[in-house]
Amino acid sequence: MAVFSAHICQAEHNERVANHLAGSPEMYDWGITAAFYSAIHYLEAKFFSLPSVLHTETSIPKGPDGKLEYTAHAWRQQLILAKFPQVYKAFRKLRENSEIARYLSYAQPAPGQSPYAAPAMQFFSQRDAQNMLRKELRDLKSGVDIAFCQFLCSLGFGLTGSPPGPNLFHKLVGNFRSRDELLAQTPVTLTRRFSPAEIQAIEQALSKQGLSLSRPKDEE
Amino acid sequence: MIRMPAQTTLVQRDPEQGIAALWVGNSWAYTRGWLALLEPVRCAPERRVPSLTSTRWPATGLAWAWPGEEVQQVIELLVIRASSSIFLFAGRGVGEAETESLSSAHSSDAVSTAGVAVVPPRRETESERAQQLVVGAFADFREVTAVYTQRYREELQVVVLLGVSRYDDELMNGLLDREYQVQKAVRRPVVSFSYIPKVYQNRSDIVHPGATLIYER
Repeated sequence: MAVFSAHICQAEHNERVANHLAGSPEMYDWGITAAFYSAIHYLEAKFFSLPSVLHTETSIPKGPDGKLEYTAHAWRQQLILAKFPQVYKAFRKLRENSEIARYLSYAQPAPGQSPYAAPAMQFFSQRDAQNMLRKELRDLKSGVDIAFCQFLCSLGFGLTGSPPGPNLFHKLVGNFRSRDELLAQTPVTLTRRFSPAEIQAIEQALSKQGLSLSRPKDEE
Repeated sequence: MIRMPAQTTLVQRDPEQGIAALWVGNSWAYTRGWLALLEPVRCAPERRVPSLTSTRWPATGLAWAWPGEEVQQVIELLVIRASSSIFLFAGRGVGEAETESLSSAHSSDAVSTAGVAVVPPRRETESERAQQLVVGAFADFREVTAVYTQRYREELQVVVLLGVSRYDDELMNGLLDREYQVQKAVRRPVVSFSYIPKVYQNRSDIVHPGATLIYER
């Protein structure tokens, strides 16, 4: 299972592919599918920032018989409903339309005429595909606050780093929602929830990027 | 001991097909495995089929059962009360059966309900409630032509057939808004939806034969 940074890399790659395909008059229908796979990775990256979830596939409940109770797709949608209901509609539209685009196998222009060779291209217009990228994928990314997680990764707080980095990643995501909210903290306010070693690690990581925590007012 | 719901006034058993019909309150119910009966499955509202009711047998009870929690296939139940005997037909496709083929069916045993234990009437299942909400959510879209459901373990899969052959973003927004309302109202079973445009020749090409039709325009 991929860690946060790997999900983000794949999400961004898929998004670039989606933009490329959606711009092609010959294969824009595949842009919808690439956008959906980008959305999956953005979501899985966000799930990884939640210690109670980490990955969709490994958090599916088991029944009394030891078998998984749901498909991964159905369980992922339940996680979205529970954790990020604001992006449910955007995610569902991408998923539903990507399945139609992939599996549509029969479309007839009129009774008695031969089916289309590429039915998804007839069902969706190029504008439809581009709109799903511009709106639904954008709404999903902003709805799950992925930018703060990316900022923490840029500080080196991914699971691939050495302690206390891995613990700090989840701890910071659990306490703050944005870069600005973190930078508004002072070392003193952090002591309520973080150890001295963790505060030191945060300050060192920030200073490498020319950033720092706020100072108490009496120090200004 | 055989345990019956309260208000069970009529019990018919078909020993050959291993099914029993109950008249519970004001509707038909059925159960399979007579001796294991605990909670009979209540049938869909009584429905008459003109081609059958016009025969020499006046059908007074005719019901289509929903698939039960354990029973994944649809059971159709047909009860015909003649002047002096009662016939019980069960299985798939009895509603469409020709009257001639029914003539070879057998009469059912009447079983006395005296002395049986009484349990409270069965309450509506979570699955039935979810299906009612689904139908209520989509019935007023003129583009929705039919809705099917099927169970996969703890998941209720809903297939919504649409009458459109070109993508309609406004329609999709409306459908997903309703889907979200259903999701917020139903915790169990987990419900998953798919929307199929009119780009197929026959429904049998895209709908599983075990799926249940719960709405049709």
